Parts: sequence; C-alpha cells; structure tokens
Amino acid sequence: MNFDNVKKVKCSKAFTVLDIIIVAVIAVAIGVSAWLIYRKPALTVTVTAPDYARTFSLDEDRTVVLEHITVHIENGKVWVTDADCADKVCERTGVISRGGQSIVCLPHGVVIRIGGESDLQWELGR
Amino acid sequence: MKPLYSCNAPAQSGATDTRRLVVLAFLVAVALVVSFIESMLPPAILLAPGAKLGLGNIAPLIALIILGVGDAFIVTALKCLLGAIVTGGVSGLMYSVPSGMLALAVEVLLFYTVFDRISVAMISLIGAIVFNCVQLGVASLVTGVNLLTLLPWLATAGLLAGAFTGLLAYYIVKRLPYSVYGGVRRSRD
Repeated sequence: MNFDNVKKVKCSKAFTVLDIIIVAVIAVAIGVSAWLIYRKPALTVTVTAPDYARTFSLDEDRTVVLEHITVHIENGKVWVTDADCADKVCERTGVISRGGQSIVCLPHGVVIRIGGESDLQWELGR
Repeated sequence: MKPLYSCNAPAQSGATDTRRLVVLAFLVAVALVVSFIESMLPPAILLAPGAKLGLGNIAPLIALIILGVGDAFIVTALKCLLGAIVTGGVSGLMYSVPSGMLALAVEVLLFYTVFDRISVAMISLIGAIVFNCVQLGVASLVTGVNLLTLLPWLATAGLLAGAFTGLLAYYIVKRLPYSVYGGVRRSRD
C-alpha cells in the first residue's frame, strides 16, 4: 500500500489549469492531423501532345482545343471530344476525375493525365 | 519513488503484504469482469471502429496509485493475459500487451513527475491516447495496411474515454476511506 500516493491523490483536484491547456493543445493537434490526413490533394491535368505540353488545374473549368482533339475540364472531370482519328479510343475512355487516371490518344500521341497527389493512396485497404 | 522490488527486502508486515495481494487480485478481477461486460455492450462504432470506453483500464491506474509501479505492471500483465484467455482471443495479446504496457509506462512517468500540476484524469487521458496510438501502430504493422486515417478518430475516442475512466479512478481513490488502504485506526481514548 502506497499511503503517500493515496494521500496525494485524495488531496488533489479533479481538474487543474494545466489540464485545460494540455487538452486544448491535444485537441488542436488532433484537428491539424485530421486536416492533414483528410484534405483533398490538389489535382492537376497534364496535357501532352508531340508539340504541346501544359498543365492545368482540375478545379478550373476550361476547354483545350488541340489540332486533332478537344479536351474538356469541367467540375473536376476531364473528357475528350472531337477526336478526328479512326478508333476514338480516347473519346470512349469516358470521363476521368481521380489522381492517376489518364486518357490516351495513340494515333495523335496525346496523353491527358490527372496528376498530383493521388487521392487513392489514403484509402483503406490499398 | 518507492523501489520496485528487491529480492531480499523484508515485507513491511504480514498484514500489509496480504492486503496488497488481496487488492491486487481484486483489481485484476474487477478489470476482467468490467471488460467482459463492456464487450457485450454495443460498440461505439460511430466515433471510430473498435472504440470502447476501456473501463478495465481503471485497474492499472488505481493499482499505480494505491499499490505502486511494480504492482501496476503486474495488474496490466494479468489483465491482458487472463483477458485473452477469458475471451478466447489470444491474438489480442499482440495488441493489448504493448499498448497497455506503454500506456502504463507513460502514466507512471507522468504520475511521478508532474502529478498535482496535472490531475489523475489528465494522466489517464494521455495514457488512453498513447494506448490507442500504439494499438493503431501494431494494427498497421500486423495487417500491413496504413491505418493512419483512423488516428484522429481514435485519439479523440482516447481523449474522451481516458478522461472519463481517469475521473472514475480519481473519485474511487478519493471516496474510499483510509481504512480500505490499511490505514491504522486511531485508538479510542
């Protein structure tokens, strides 16, 4: 039996001033870590063609008209129209919106890729 | 700080030693029963997966206060071991032993350095957060999955549960009369 400790605890207060400060610090730390972990990474759209290379933000709506192809960036989604090739694989790729996805037009050598931090890496089970 | 254990130290008295043994066994038993009952309650899955109150963690804290450092570690070890046997989940030892021991180590450190400036509830709160973090770390290692996303939730859960169990431990120690701790009854004049 540790009588000294019992006495110390019996005489102590349920809360102290330092407690409140530490809890506040911990709460802020939890908030910051939650923000760091859960924030949506900024994504970019990189369009490369044989004579063309530019990077756009996924958040800004715009239409990029190239020689053989038209790239639409709207509401965080990217898709391709007006491809003048025969196979239309790029058009049929459909709409992409997540980090790491890409649309490729082989006949004209155009690659459209969503880059930046992949938002898939934080998902559980991956 | 009282010395932990030495082989040759004479027992203070027979009565003290028996009382210590009884209290130790009692704390372990209470921790086991409370954890068992708690495991039957619906889990607080809303806050974080696997989050629970951890009422059984009162026992090591109380043991630390009224018995001492060594006994607190004994209570933790017995609680983990017997808990694993009772619930049948021996693989749970992988999670409960490192987190329980590390949390207790932190609590011991805090108790013998900054106690009185921070309360018992605060010590328990920090211990609970350490407990959850270590458990998350072990789970990440075992499953090979990055479970970091759960950290804010589990830390919040630890904050609330730790404060609650700490307050409980504080009031238990505070309200129990000295005679329970083996205080000598004053002779009646």
